[in-house]
Amino acid sequence: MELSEHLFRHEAGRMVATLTRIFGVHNLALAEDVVQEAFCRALEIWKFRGVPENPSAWLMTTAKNRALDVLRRERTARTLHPN
Amino acid sequence: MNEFVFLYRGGQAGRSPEQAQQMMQKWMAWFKELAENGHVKDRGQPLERAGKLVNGKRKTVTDGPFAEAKDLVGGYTLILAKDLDEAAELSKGCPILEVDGQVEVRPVMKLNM
Repeated sequence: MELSEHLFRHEAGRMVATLTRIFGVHNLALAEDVVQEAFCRALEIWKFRGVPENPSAWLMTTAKNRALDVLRRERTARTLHPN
Repeated sequence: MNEFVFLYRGGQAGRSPEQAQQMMQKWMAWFKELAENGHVKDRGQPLERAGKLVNGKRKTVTDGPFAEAKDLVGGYTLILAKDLDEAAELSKGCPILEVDGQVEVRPVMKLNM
């Protein structure tokens, strides 16, 4: 699987847009963080395992799951410490 | 052919996503070349930075990440080579060396039977 030379630049904007549509514009910073993180993890894993059939889908799923994790943790923290 | 483990230590990830991607592509090219020459038994896996150290009889547990990032093993590969010298020679192509990393080359112990 050949990767575009600028995979991140091509994908990042679209991924952040999709994530803010799902999680709301107030979570823009979160969306940007998880996209960057998904990209870094993907590169580490693909080094060893090879690039998957559909890198964009893989990146999007990873970023979305990470965002869900972060939001769930924040909600739990708020429930335990309402202040 | 004898078996060796490559342990990858340290090495900075790329500063920008583009650099990190170039780095990944170098790794893949290196693995491909090794595999084409029959030197890869198992590409292995990358390892998370987090970890725990369990010590001695008292089994005390300390948390990672460990003090020095440069000492962290970030992944491993199982390599086939004629001898330790050849294995070390093969490790010289590893892209981690370009970013201040190290490759530890260790023969897998075996019984000649």
